[in-house]
Amino acid sequence: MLLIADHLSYKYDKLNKKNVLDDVSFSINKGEIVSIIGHTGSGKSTLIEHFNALNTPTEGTIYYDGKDIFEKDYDRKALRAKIGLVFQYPDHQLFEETVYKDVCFGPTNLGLDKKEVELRAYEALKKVGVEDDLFFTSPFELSGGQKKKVTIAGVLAMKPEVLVLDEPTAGLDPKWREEILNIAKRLRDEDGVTIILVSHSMEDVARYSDHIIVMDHGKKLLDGTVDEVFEQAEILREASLDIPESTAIMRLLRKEGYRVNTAVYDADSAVREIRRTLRF
Amino acid sequence: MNKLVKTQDVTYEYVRRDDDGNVENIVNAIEGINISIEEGQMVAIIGHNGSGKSTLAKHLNALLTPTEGTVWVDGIDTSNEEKVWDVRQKAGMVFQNPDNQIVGQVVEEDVGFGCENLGIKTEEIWERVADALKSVDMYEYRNASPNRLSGGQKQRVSIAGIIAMKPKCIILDEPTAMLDPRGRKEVINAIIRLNKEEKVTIILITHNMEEIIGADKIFVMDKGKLVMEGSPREVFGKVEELTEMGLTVPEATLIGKKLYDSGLPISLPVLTKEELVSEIGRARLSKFR
Repeated sequence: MLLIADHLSYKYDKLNKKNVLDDVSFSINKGEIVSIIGHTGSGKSTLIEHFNALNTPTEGTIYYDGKDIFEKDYDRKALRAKIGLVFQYPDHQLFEETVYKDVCFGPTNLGLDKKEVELRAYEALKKVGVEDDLFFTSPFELSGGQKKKVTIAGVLAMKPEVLVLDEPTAGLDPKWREEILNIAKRLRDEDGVTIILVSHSMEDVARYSDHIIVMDHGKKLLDGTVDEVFEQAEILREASLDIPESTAIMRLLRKEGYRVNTAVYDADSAVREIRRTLRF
Repeated sequence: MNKLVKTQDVTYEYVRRDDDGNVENIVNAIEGINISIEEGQMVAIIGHNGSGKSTLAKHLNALLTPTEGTVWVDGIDTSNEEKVWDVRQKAGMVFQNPDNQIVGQVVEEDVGFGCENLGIKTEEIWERVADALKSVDMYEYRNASPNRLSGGQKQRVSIAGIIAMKPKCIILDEPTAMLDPRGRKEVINAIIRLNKEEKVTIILITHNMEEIIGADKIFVMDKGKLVMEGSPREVFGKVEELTEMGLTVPEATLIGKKLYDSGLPISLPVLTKEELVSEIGRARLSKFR
C-alpha cells in the first residue's frame, strides 16, 4: 500500500460547527486509478490537500510509502514533489509568460540544474501531447483543454509518483474530457503513476477507476470496486450522487423483467449486454 | 408567437494582437448567424469548446455586440448603446461558476442586488426577492450566508438574482458544469419550472445532452457557424454528424442507435431511458415472434 489515511479527522469549519473530515480511513495501492467522489462540501478537497501535507489533520495521520508524513522530521518538501496536485482551475495554477516557462517552474524549484529542468519540461509537455508550436505562447491564450494539459505537464515535470487531479474535466466538452482522462490512464499504464481522480462525472469515474472512495459530509460512505460502488444506487443518490446513465438504463430493463447484468457503465457494454440477453 | 430574440447575419471578429499591439490575425468567433427564439420557448445551444456558442450567448444580452449583422432582444437592437441596460434587464445571464457570481453576505441581499441597480423601490425589491427565491425553491435559505450553500443552491441563488429583475429571458452558460449530480438536477428542475410555470424564455448552453431532451429547439454550433437546428428528436437523430463534431447524444439515444445498427428494429431516435426500454420490448416482440 502506497498511501494510507489512518483515522483522519480535520476540524475546521467553525461556521457549520462540524468536522470537515471525520475519522476517514482507506488505503490506495501503487499504480491504481482511484476516484474520490462526493457532493460539494463532502470533504474531498480538504482530503486531497492532506495527501501532500498542504493541510494538517486534527486527528489521525497519513502514511506514504510506510512513513507518517506528519511526523516532525518527515521531509514534506520532498513529498510535494512526489505527490503532484492539479487543481480545478488552470488559471489559478498558470502564471508564467510562456507555456514552456510555466512547466519549468516546478522542476526549477526542486533545485535541479537548468539542463535537467529543460529536459523534464520538454518531456512533460510531449507526454501530455502539447504541440511544439504552443511552447512559447502565453498559457492564458490557450483553450480550457490546452490549459489543463499544461497544468498537468507542470506537475509531471517534477516526476511525481502520485498525480492528484481535482475535477480535471469540469467544463470541458466530451472530446477534451476523454483526451485529459486518457493522459491520466497513459501515465498509469506506461509510467506506473498512481492516479487519484476527484470528479462529479459518474460516467468518467466508472470508466477509468480501479477503485472508488465515496465521501459524504466528511465521512467515508463507500469504498470499493466500480461494481461494488455503483451497485449502491440508493445510497449514492442519498449522498447527492448518482449512477452512470447506462447503468440506470440496465436497472430499468432489469425492473421490466430482462435478465441483464446491471454492472454496465457505457453505451457499448450496454449494447453488448442487451444483445447477449435478447440473443441477437 | 412573438420573436423575443432574433439575430440577422451576425458575425463577431476577434482580433489577436502581439506584444507590441500589432494585429496578428483576425478570427471570426462566430459567422453569419441567423437564429430566432420565440417568447416562452426553452432552447439549447450546443457545440464543442471553442465552437462559438458562448460568444453567441454573450451577444444575446449585449455583453458583446456584433461586428457585422444585428441582434434584437424584444425588438431592441443590442448595438444601440443607450439601450444596453434595457437589453440586460430583458435578458439576464447566469454563468458556469457560482462562486464568481455571488456578491452578497446574505442570500436575500445577493438576490436583491440587481434590482437595486435598476433603481427599484426598496419595498418592491423585498417582494421580488421573496418571489424569486420561492420560484427556485430557495426561500427557506433567504437569511443564510451564500458561502454555506452547496453548488446547486448557489447556482439557484444566482438564477433568483436574475429572476428578481423580471427578465423575459434567461441565458445560462453551462450552469451545471461545476455541480455534483444532485446540484445538476436541482438547477435543471428550477430552470424547467421557470420555463413551464413562469413562462420565462430559457436559453441553455450545456454539454449534458440529457438536460435538453425536453427543449423546444436545439441549435448546434461548429467552428463559429450554426450547422444544425431543430427539435431534440430531429437533432439527436443525427448521431453520426454530432459525434463527428465531438458532441454526444443522450445515452439512451446512443444505445438505441447502436442496437438498431446491430439489427434490432427499433424506431429511432429514442430520447429517454423509458422510451428505450419500451422500444426494446416492442422490437423484441416483432423480431422474435
